Amino acid sequence: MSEQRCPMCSRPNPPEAHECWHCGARLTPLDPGGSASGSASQPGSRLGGERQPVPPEQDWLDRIRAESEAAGEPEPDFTAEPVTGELPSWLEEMKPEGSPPEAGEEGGRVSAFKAAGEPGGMEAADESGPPEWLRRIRAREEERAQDTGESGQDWLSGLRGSPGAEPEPEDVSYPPRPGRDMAAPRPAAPESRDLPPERPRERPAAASQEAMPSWLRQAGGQDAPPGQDRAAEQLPPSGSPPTTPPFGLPHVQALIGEGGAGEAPLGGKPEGEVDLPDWMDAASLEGPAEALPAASEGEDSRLAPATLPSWLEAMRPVETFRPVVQIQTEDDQAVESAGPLAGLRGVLIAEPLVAMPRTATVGSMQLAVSERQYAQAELLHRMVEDEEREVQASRRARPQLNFIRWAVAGVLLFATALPVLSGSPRFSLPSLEPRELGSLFTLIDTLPAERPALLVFDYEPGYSGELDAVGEALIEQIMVRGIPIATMTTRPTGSLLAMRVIDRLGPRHDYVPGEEVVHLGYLSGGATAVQLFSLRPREAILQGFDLPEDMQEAGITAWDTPVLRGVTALSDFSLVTVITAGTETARVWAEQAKNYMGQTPLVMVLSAGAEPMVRPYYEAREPRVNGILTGLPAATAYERRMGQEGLAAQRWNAFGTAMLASEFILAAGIAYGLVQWWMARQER
Amino acid sequence: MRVRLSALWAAVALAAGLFVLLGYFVQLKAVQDLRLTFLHWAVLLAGAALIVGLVNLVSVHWRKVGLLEEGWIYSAVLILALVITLGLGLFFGPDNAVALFIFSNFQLPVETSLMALLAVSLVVAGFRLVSRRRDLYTLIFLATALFVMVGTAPWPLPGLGTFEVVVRDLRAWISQVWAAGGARGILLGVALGATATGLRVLLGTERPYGG
Amino acid sequence: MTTPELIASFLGAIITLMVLSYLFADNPLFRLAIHIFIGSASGYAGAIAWHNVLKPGLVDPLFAVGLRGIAQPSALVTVVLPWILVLVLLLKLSPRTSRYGTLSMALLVGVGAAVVVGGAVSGTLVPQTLASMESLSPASVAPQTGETGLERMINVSLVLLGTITTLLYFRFGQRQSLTGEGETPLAVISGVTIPGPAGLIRAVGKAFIAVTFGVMYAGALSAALVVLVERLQFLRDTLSNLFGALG
Repeated sequence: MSEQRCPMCSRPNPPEAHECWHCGARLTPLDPGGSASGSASQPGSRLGGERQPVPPEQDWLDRIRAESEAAGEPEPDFTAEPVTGELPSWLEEMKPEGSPPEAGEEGGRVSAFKAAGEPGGMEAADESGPPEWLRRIRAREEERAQDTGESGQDWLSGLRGSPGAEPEPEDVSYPPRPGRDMAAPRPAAPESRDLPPERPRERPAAASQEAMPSWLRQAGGQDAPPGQDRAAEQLPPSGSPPTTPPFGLPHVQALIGEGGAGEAPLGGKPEGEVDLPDWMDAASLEGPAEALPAASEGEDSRLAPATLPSWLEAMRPVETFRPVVQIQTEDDQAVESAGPLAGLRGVLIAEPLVAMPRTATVGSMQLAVSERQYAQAELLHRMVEDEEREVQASRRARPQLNFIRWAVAGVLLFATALPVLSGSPRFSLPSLEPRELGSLFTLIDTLPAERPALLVFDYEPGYSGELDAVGEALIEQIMVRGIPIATMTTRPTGSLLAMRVIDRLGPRHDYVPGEEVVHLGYLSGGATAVQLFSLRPREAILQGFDLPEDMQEAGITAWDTPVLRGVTALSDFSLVTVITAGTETARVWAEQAKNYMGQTPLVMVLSAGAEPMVRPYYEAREPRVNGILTGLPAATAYERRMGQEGLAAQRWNAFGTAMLASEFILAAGIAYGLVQWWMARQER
Repeated sequence: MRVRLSALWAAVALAAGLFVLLGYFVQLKAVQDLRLTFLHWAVLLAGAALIVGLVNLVSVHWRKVGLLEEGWIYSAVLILALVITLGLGLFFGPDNAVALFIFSNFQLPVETSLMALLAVSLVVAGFRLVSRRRDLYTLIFLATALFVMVGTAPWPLPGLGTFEVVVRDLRAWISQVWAAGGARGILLGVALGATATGLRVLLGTERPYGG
Repeated sequence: MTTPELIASFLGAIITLMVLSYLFADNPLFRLAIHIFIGSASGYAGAIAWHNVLKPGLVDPLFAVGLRGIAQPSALVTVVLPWILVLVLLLKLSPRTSRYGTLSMALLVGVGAAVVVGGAVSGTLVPQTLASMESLSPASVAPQTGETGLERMINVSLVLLGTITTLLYFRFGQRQSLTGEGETPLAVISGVTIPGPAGLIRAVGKAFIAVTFGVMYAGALSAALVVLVERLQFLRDTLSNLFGALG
């Protein structure tokens, strides 16, 4: 029959074992109506030939011992004697005369915790005979017994006043644990190496009845049971419910037996077995309550329940925190039927309170939702739904849109091309000119001719159709006056635009590049460039643009040309004219440059759309713009003043028809919209 | 001590901007010299930034060509035009005749034609404006535009009639008084906004340069 | 007109027609023309930036100073540091090193912001505020237009009213529209809501803005029409030159 594994600790056990040798768990499930033969009996011993039930209070000790044996630890000596002088006086009185040999040196150190090989330490159990420490203890006990005339009684047995001597046991047998079946007879020697090594058990020695002081005897309540060899005992199963000790803690075993007698001395122990003192008896500290009846019955118990002294009772917690626990008898206790503890009695019931799923008894949280939050949640929900919903693409009448664009484009192109191609209709040039035109004309007319004029070409090529026409009128006047011209720009294509205009107008007035006109070129940076140029023109622009080849070969820069030879600051120019289509550029020049121009006027040549935003700079007590020329009508009026017909006049007729066509289309759009509105209102 | 880079960038922007701004109001030589130095550096950096933008444009379209995405042919044409123009401009100079030829016959026609398209788009938008948005201010907008156009365009009738004079004077009055009042308010608002934004940038609250 | 000029005009005319074809619909010819334009404009911008800004500002000073003169303090400011800043800016090209290029961007943005602030304060805010404080005396004469008397008083009042109401509209009008909370009207007569004082000011400001934008729209349209005229004239001239050359 193969070994069986413990369901709790998974360690191997002999096949005939009913309890795990390591942790004490049940290996075979109990019969629900199982025999009560072993219910109150002491747990059996694993030693010797036949396994005897062993008291429940020794079970935990067996487990510890087994584990320590498995780990190779020496078995602790639980019979360590305290050192004289270190114990309280009341305990010292209880101590037998003569200290054990180990106590003096160790100073109270329990030899149980000494390693093997140390003086006084534990030695591994030797199956061939009792270990040395056991022999020493036995020898000591024998000496004591010889001295006191008692056999097998230690000092505690003497205190207890055990009446009888402890018979010398042949085998150590322990009554089975309450509620458990009797263990099958065990082989003499363990066959498996995994099984814990057998170790002698140390039986607690009974205390002597006569050695117990009277107060302790009284505290015991009743005479301690006579110290008996446990092996010789076959504790009957307890049939009566355990009696609660006077102090109400049935699980606490008293130090003194019922009869005040100590346990049986160790002298009668068989070889290989060790007696534990009563107070160290595992059965007195652990085990179900069934163990108590065995203890309380007198014959079977080792420790009698005792009452606490008054001073000790005063120290314990208030009774309200320690409710009296009513423990049922073994028969009344339910047998666990599931889980690893199946078959055991007195197990805390897991089901249905813990293991069974149940609904929470606490009520669900009530969320307080306001109206606004509810509305927002609904909105969010609708938004999420809208995302999931497939929206049909609305079909719009695309030809209708193109028709409007085609129609407008056709009308405009026709209106514009008609005068261009046929020369009619013709419109008269405007006879009314803007009010600021006169002052501008006068301003240019009064400029000093020896100082050059700076022309800034800061517009996109797309506006060249308008600004070339508007700017050329003013540039023509400058050239007519013979004022040298320098051009610069803050746009990459501005230099080319300047070059085109100057190349068109220059030859008419004999302006020679490098002599009467020079291009400074491009300066990057926008407003930053304007600020730098206003502060230090010569340091801002170092090169030129489209300089004559001979000047380039000679290494002459634009500043070295006759046009700019005397110019070091912006105020050295006679005029600064900014030709631009953007309000932003005009504003930048008005803000950044005017402060450094002194008396030099700043004139703006603007596209028609930029006029409203520049006019506030012009119409002020201290204007930052000294002249404005904007739009084709002003340019044609300027040309008319000059007595010339320039680009502005050439484009006047086509401009007129295109403007008329646009006016009609806009008016039609307004009328159409108003009619739609009126019709919609009528329908309502 | 570990210094956060973002704080370093903000400190650089603040230091440079502070001296430039002080130069508007303080006439100390040290401040003015520093201001000039920073302005010089900014102009150079603006030119370098243009080159960086150029490289980025090429890389975007190069990737498009490499992956044969939709419209990759146009990207290839763009890169070709860029390389040719840049090469000619770098080799021969931006004021050479070839550059002027390319500008006059490619760039200028395209830009002016786009501007001509804008005219059609503006008229179409004006035509549909009242249909789409019928409120008092739309009517004021369109009525003003129409009146200004009438006052700007050549008078269809021959001769200088009284009506023409009245219309022209009204047109001038509207554009030079009414519009000027609104424009001044807009300019002041724009200046206030620009001041606030500029101060936020200088103080590091806004970091358009990243970090 | 010479042959090269004729060819150039013809090319320009073709490009113009390719762009104007957008009036019918978006088409490949229009896209091709636009891409050619973008490429050529970008290339030219790069060339002129190099020739007019970078070469005279960076390369020429470096050659002028030479390697020996780099250590001089003046060269540090005019040569070394600008080179470092430009090279740092070029780090922006790579995503891995982009964050280090922020140094140059920060300097550029800082200087630009200061220029904008300084110009706005000294060039617009103060002068325009002072300009709004025109005297309402009938004896005053407008220097630019020569207006005087009642005409000038009315004009000055209108400009002042427009300035104030427009500013108030920008300041308070947007906030009102965002919150959606309406102001209590002064009265409602035959379905027409008469706004309260604040609403009235905002309405007047909005009207002034509508007038200003209407004038700007008319100006932009007239400018675009002039350009349209110029294009058609160019096409006419090209065609006539072409027919003249062929004929």
